[in-house]
Amino acid sequence: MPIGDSIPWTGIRWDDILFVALAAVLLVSAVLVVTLRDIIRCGLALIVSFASLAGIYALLGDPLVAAAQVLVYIGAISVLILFAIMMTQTKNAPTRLVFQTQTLFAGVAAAVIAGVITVTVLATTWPAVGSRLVTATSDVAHKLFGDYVLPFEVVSVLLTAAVVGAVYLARRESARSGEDRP
Amino acid sequence: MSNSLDSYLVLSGLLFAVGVFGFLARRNAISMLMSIELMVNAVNLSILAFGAFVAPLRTHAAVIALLVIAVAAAEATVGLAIVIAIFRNKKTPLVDEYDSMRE
Amino acid sequence: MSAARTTPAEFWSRRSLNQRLALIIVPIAIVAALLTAAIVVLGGPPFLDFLGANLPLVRFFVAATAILMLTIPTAFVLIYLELKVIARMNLRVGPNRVGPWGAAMSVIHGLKVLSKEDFGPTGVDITVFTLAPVVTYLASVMTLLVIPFAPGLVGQDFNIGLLYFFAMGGLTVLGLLMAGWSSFNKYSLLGGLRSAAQIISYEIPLTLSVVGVIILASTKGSGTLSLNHIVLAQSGSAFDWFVFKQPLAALIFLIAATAEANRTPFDMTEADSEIVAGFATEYSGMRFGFFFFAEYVNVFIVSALAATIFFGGWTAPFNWPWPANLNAFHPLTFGLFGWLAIIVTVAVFGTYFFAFFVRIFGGRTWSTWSSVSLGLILNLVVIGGLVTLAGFIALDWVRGLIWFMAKTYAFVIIFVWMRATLPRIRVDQLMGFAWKWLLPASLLNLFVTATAVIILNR
Repeated sequence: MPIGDSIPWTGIRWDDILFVALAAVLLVSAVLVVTLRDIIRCGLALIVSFASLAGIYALLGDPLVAAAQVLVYIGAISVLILFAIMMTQTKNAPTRLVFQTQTLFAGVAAAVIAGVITVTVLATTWPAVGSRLVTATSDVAHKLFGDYVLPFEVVSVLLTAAVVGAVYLARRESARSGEDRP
Repeated sequence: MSNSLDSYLVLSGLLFAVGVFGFLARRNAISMLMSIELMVNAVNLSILAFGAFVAPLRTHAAVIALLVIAVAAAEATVGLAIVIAIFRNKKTPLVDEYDSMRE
Repeated sequence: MSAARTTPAEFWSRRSLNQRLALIIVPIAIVAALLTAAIVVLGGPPFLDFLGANLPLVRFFVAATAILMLTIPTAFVLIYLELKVIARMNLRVGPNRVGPWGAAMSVIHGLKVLSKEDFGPTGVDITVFTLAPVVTYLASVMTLLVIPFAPGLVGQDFNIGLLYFFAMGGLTVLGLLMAGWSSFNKYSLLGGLRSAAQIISYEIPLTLSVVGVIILASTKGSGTLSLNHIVLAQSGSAFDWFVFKQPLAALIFLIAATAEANRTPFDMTEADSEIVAGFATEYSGMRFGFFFFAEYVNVFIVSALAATIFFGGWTAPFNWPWPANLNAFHPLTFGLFGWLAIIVTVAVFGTYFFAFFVRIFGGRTWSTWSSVSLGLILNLVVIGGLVTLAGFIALDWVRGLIWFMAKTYAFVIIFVWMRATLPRIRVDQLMGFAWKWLLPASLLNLFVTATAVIILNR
């Protein structure tokens, strides 16, 4: 989504400001997701990180994926997660221990992964890298229902299977044995 | 800064690392699911970043990202259903208390 | 002690209150005026350059602000309309104390809500508790950004407008969930969970029902989700409206939209007789006011979208016969003094013209002053009507706005009518209806539309 070029008398580009702000919000909220004690706040921080990711997608020139991110991730998956949190948590849950005993090793592993990825990315010269382009929605549609029609159908079957499986798993025991529900 | 592929890939790597940390360190099953979502999103971000900067991948990346989002929705549905089913039997969402097979 | 040797303290103590205030305010005002002038002179041109260089950004912020401002009078009008219309349907009078016909009632409501104590019960998670109404309200307001009010009068004409609309509209549920959780109250939590289940379920038929419209709109050339193009695809007469090609989709859309806006008969999330207003149980004051506002803004938005997608948006219901052009009345034609002369003449003569008739037909009961003031009011009403009519004929955006608002408010009245007529349905019936009837019906509609388009285009 092009929004002007740059601030006139400083030469700082709008896109850069937007990118830095969104990336900062994304990383801070992601860290909050994994460190906050109160799990409902973890869920809300997760929503903030999804929203900033949608912003980054729009910045990358993919408004369709950004809208899908908001629609699916925030509108459906986050709500589902909050729903599950509300069904499984009690108010005294945050006072208990939130981390495993292997937290230290987990931190080391995460730091190693971050370091390896960063070094790899910065050390590699990517071939055929041009400047940013904007995706046309109709092109995506033609690809999705042309070249990618088989994955599309497989995903739809997968979603159906997932819905059926979820309904089966989350059903009450009494209903599964055929009794009337209260 | 917003016009280089590297910054997006580094951002995606950092997000992935945060997700790895959360998955390994949290005790709560739903927290672990949220960390998995973070990792999926990191991968999606890198796919879209490649698509945005490499012209031949342009629309492919958007399509693959949409498919990943759909699969992630299925994953979250089943994962949360499993968590709720276990919660109903064990009365706890903490994974280290699911130890009935540890004898 | 002579007057020449007064100390500053004595000088100060002899001044009266007004003089002291003047002594404080006047220097501050002078300094402020000088500073303002300096800022305008020095900073004005670069600032204008800055705005000019970032015109899309400026346009976006202006549109967002205008839309945020628009919601407040809209909510007031809708609240009053609902009170009054439901009252008439119940054979009551409705609000009739504040203002003419009680029209200032909702403004007084708003002031009352504003003046209440900012109160949070014990045990609430105060951050989430405060953020929840804001999320709900902003999620509603942001959807207005893509609604085309008239030709050229749209906040932001996104290529993916319709998808954006549903993405933002789905965020309302987050606010309700946050409110239900943070209230620390079983009823509120039930309301929040109900809202999550209901809105996610009804979002699917809502989104699927408009896919048929998108297919039809794309057959008219433009394969886009932009609401403006969907409106343009319906231009012509009323028979070009998509409601006649997609009657099933329009019905599904209206039912699902009622559920999305949490209106009766689907207001399970509030259900004041079962779970005492659900998510809003613990809310009071302006926090509750935001929920209340969001509900009415939602009604307006849903009506606007129904009018836009299925009833032609700002297009007229028949071919508009006059491509009129009132260039004679262009502001530059007469100049400033010419316009001033015209306005004064019309005001004076019109007032006396109407006052004359009031005096003739009113008889002795009207004094000179009251007949003149009534004449002024009548004159203003007539001139306002004439100016609106001129705009209606001459300017396409005035015409579009009037048609759009007429259609939207027709739907608002239908929603109010439903609230006055239908009882609330049960939770299990609600979910069963969405999954067993609306979803298959919308899929059938999509299938039939796609097949028909393929066959007819062959």
